[in-house]
Amino acid sequence: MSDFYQNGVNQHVWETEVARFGIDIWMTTEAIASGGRVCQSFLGAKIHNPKDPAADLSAMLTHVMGALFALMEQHEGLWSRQEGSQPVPLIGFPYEVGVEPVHVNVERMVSHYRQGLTDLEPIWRQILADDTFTQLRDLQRTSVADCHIPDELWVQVVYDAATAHRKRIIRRDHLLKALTPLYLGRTASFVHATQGLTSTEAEQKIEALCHTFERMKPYLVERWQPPVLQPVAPALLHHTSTDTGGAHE
Amino acid sequence: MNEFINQALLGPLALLGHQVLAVLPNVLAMGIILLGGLFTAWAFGSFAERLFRIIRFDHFCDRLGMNAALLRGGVKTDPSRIIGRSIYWTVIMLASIAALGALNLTPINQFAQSLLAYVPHLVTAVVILLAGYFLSNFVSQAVLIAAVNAGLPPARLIAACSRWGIQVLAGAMALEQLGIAQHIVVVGFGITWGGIVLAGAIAFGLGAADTAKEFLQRRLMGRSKSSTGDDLHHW
Repeated sequence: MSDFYQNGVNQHVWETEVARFGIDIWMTTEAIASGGRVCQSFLGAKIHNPKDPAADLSAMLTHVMGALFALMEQHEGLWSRQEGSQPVPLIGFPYEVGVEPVHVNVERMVSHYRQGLTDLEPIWRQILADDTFTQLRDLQRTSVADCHIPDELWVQVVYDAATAHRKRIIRRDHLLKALTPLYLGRTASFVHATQGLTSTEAEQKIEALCHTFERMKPYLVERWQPPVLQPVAPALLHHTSTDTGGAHE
Repeated sequence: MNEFINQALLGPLALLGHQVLAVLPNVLAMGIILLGGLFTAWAFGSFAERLFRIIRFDHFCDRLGMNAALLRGGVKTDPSRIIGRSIYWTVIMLASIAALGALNLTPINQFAQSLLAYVPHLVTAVVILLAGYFLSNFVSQAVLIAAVNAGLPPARLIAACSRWGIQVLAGAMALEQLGIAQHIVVVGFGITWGGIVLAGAIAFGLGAADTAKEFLQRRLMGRSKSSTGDDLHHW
C-alpha cells in the first residue's frame, strides 16, 4: 500500500484535480494496473459533502470522465486484451447500507438533456457515432416520462466519447463538458427505472449496466484505434457495484 | 533627303535601339531571377513539405487537434502541405519583387519597394484574421457548452454573438493593420461595440433585474428558495 501511495506521490496526482473527483477511479485503476493484489471490504456508506461535488456537475464530470479516459489511454495495452472478469476477493462481511432518499427534479434533467440535443447537436455529432446520435435524437419526440436512455445506448455513448477523447476530435475539456446534458438524461432514466425500488434492486440495475459495458466491449475495441491486440490474457478483476459500501484496499 | 531620313526616321530608331539594348540586360536579369525564383520556390516548398512529413509534423498537429480544427474550417489539406505551399508562394513573391527591381526603372523600383514595405502589414493582417477565426471558434464552442449546461435557452444566440464579436474585432484590427480606412474602421467599431454593450446593459437592467437579484442572493447568501426540493444541482 505504501508503495502504491509513494507511486502516486511520484506522479503528483495528489496535487491535481484527479485527487478531488477522480480519485476513486484513479486509485482502483492504478492498483489493478500495477499488478497488486486487490480486494474489497464493506466500510459503510460513503457520505458525500452536499456542497461537493454536486455543486458543479459539469466540473465534476470533467474531472471524473477526464481521469477515466486518461487512464484508458494510459493502460490501453492492459485492458484492450482482457476478456471477461472475475470476482474481487471480499474481506469481512457484506452488509446493506441504508441510504437517505434524494429529491431530484427529473423534468429539469430531461429539459437539460433535450436542450443539449438541440443546441449541442453539431458537437455531439462529432463525438458520437451516427447510429448513437440517431437513437438519441429519436428520444426527442417522447414525453418526459418516456424519455429513457437504455443501457446499451448509454454504453455506446460512453464508448464513443472515450474514442473521441482519445482521437482528440474536439478539445478535450469541451468534449467532457458537452457530456453534461447526456449524463443528466441518463440520470433521469436511472431515476425513472429505480423509483420505488429497494437499494438491492437498484444495485442490481447498476450491476446489469456493468455487464452491458462488459458485453459491448468489442464495440469499444473496434472503434478504439488500431493497436494490435495480443492473445487473450487471464481475466482481470470483476467490478462489484458497491458505491454504498465497497472500498478497495 | 538623306539627311532628313537620317534625322527623322533612323535617329529615333537608333535611339530606341540603344534604349532597348540598355534595358535588355535588365530584362534578361529579370527573366533569370524569375526562373531562378520559380525553381527555388519549388525546391524550398517541396523540401519543406517532405521535411515536415519526415518529422511527422502532421501527426503532431493531429495530436494537438489542429487537423480537426482545419477540417472544421473547411481546409482539407494537411499541415505539411500548407507549410510547403506557403513557403513556395512566399519565395515566388520575393522573387517577383526582386525581378521587378532588376529592371532598374524608377517607378517600378518605387512600386517594388512600397510592395515590400507592405508585406509585413499583410502578413500581420493574415495572422490576425487566422488567430481571430480560431479564437472565435474556440470561444463560441466554450460559450455554447457553458450556456447549455447552465440551462440558458438562448445558448445558440449567445454563442453566435461571441463568435461574430471576435471575428468583427479581428476584421477591424486586420483592416487597421492594412491601413484601409483606418479612422472609419476604428470609429465605426467603437460606436458599434459601445452600442452593443450599452444595449445589453439596458436590456439586462430592464429585463433581468430579478434574475440578477436572485443570482446575487444565491451567490452571497447561499441557496435560493427555488433550489429546495431538489438535492442534485445541475450547474
